[in-house]
Amino acid sequence: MLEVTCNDRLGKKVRVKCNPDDTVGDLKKLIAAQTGTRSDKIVLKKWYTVFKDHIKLSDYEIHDGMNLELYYQ
Amino acid sequence: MGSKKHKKESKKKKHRSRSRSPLDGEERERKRHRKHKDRKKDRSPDVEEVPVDSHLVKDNGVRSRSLTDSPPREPRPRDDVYRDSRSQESSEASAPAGGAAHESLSVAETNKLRAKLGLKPLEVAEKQADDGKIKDDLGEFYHKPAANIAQQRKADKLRERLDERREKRLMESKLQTALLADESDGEDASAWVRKSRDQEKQKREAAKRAAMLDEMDAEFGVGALLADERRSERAAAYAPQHLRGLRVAHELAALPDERDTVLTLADKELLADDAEDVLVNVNLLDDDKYRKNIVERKKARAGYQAYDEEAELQAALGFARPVLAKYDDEIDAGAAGRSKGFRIGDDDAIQAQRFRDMMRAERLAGGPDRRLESLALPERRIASDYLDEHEVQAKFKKFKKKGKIRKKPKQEPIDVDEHEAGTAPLHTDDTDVKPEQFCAAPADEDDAELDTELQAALARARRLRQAEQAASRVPKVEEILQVSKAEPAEEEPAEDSAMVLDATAEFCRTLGDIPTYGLAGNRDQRAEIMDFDREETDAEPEAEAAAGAWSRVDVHSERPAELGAGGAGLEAEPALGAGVAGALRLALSKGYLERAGAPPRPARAPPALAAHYSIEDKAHEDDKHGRRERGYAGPLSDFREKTNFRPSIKLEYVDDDGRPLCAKEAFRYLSHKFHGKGPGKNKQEKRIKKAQQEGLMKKMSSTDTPLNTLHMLQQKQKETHSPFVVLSGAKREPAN
Repeated sequence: MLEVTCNDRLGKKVRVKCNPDDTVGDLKKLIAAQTGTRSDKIVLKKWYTVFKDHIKLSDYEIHDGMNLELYYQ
Repeated sequence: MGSKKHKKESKKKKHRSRSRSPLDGEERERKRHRKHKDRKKDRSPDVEEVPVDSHLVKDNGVRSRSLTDSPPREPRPRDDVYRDSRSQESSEASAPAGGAAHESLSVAETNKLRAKLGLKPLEVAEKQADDGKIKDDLGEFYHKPAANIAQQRKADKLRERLDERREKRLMESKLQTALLADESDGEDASAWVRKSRDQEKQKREAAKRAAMLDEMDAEFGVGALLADERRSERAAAYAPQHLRGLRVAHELAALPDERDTVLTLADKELLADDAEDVLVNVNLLDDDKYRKNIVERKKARAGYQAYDEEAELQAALGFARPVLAKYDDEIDAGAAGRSKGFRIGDDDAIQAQRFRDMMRAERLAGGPDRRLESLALPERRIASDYLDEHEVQAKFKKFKKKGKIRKKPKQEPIDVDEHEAGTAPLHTDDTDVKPEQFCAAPADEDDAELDTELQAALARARRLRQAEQAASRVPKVEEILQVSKAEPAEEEPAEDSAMVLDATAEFCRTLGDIPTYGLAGNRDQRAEIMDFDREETDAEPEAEAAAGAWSRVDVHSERPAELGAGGAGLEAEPALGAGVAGALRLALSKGYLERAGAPPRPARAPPALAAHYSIEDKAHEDDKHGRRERGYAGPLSDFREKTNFRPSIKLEYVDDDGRPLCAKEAFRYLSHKFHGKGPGKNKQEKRIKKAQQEGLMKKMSSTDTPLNTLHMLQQKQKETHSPFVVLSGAKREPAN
């Protein structure tokens, strides 16, 4: 279980607990549940690296405590 | 500047994510947050600062609720609505989820949310401090902790000290001797002086007593007896059998037989465990050492020998095959020494050793076979260009033929006395070789045939020469005549019934009548000359009468028999005579000169042409081509400019390949032709490439890209019936 912080620099900053083998899509759902946006509107990035929905967090090497950038499409 | 910050941040983040430090998780977060003070600038004012591990604190929910009330909610009305709706649904436990999205949910809340979303619950992370082991990034393997070098060193030192102490203890226990220091009873100097004086006195008294006893012994003569007795005692006490079993380190063979060798106890380590005494001779030891050193030096010089003949020989003889013999001393010092040597009194072993040596010697000698092959190759000799006698004989062996069927008679020397004169088989030819001679020897040997051919050729040559000589002699003419007369006369009676058909005769018959036959007197030049002289003298009075009389030879002369030779119309070429007459005759015979009465030739005909040919046939021409004045190149009419002539000049130049050229290229082409030098290879290739490029340019489509992108776009638009095309590569999720 790891906890990831998602920040959109406009006031929304959430800390989401998830499993390492969750996909990014699942993470987006969790974020959406916490922030209130729609999950398919969320884009998670890390400095031009867009995290794709079907890939696991562990494959992206997203560890506990990492900060992800939250954008909207 | 901002970008640099981003870079720094991202870099640092990367490093941190891969670290294996034990400070993981929350501690790291704490540290990071402490350090990055500039992050405050990025934070928008309405984002509240919440410590990272606030969710672990029990009063999370309380605090959060108190905090979340303060910040304004206006900028996000939509979210608020959403959250409010959700918060209505959720229970009090999920209030933080509905109230503030900035916090994180607890594990239970998250699990509930996950269950709602259809995800499996959270895996609670187990504590890593099982054994102090550190997992790698993927959590699959445990890393081996690095070896602590300081600890290793400490352990080594400790071990060394322990070993030293142990050894000391051992040595002390062995050397249990009475120390001088222990002996003294703590007396002072005067006591020691007194003791030493007493000892001296006793010694003196003992010496005196011994002297007195000796005197007494000498008086009684017991001294010698006693000495003998003592010797025998000593001898009995230490006899050769006491030496039985002692080891001698040298071979029995090494000890010299004639002399007595003194053996001493070999040096032995004090603390060595094996208590056996070994006897050695000092001299022999030295010899051994010396020999060994020599050998070692030789071996060291030689280095590594893959094919050590000595070692192989020794192995063959039964000695142990040494492996890396030159390290024997270092590896196992005692092994070599222990093997050799013998024990005193151990006769069996000595005999066995002798037996073994004998066997070795036998094996060396080669056994009953005595066939040791040596690897010495036959010594080399310089190759010679010439064959030896032996080689010659071997190479060129003459085998006797089975049976010589033919024997050359020529081989035997002709004995003159044997044959009669005149009938000796002279193998020289005479002038007239009769054809019978050839027919008479049908079964000649090959050699004889060859010889006869040669002889025949020689005979022919001789004959010709003689014939020439005969021809040169004038009176021989009659002879020849007679011969020629004789020959047909000879032959005719022989064959009067049959008709002889000769090819030459037939040919000449078919030739037909030659008009000039007989006119030209080409029978015999001498005869002719003679004839001519005679005729000239006769014809002088008739010179005016006959016009070409000098050119005519009287046929009806007294020379009819000349025609008898074959009767052919072909005569030999009349030889040119010395003067004009001969030339004229020749010309006449050839037909260059005409007789009187020949038809006149047309004047224009060249004299060398044939007689029947008339040039008029060739010269006759009716056409216009013939009437043109050949050779005239000037203007025929006046030159006038054409008034209405407006030429449309189109200078089109074409390449060798058929491509049209522009003026520049045309000029270049012309220059090449003019100077005779074309462009070089590079230039040619350039032109070829240019031409290819032009071809491609002509082929390409002007409306579309090379990959037909526009066309594809239009197709897609047609399919989707929309004016636009969405460019995205992301996998689309099914809408929730």
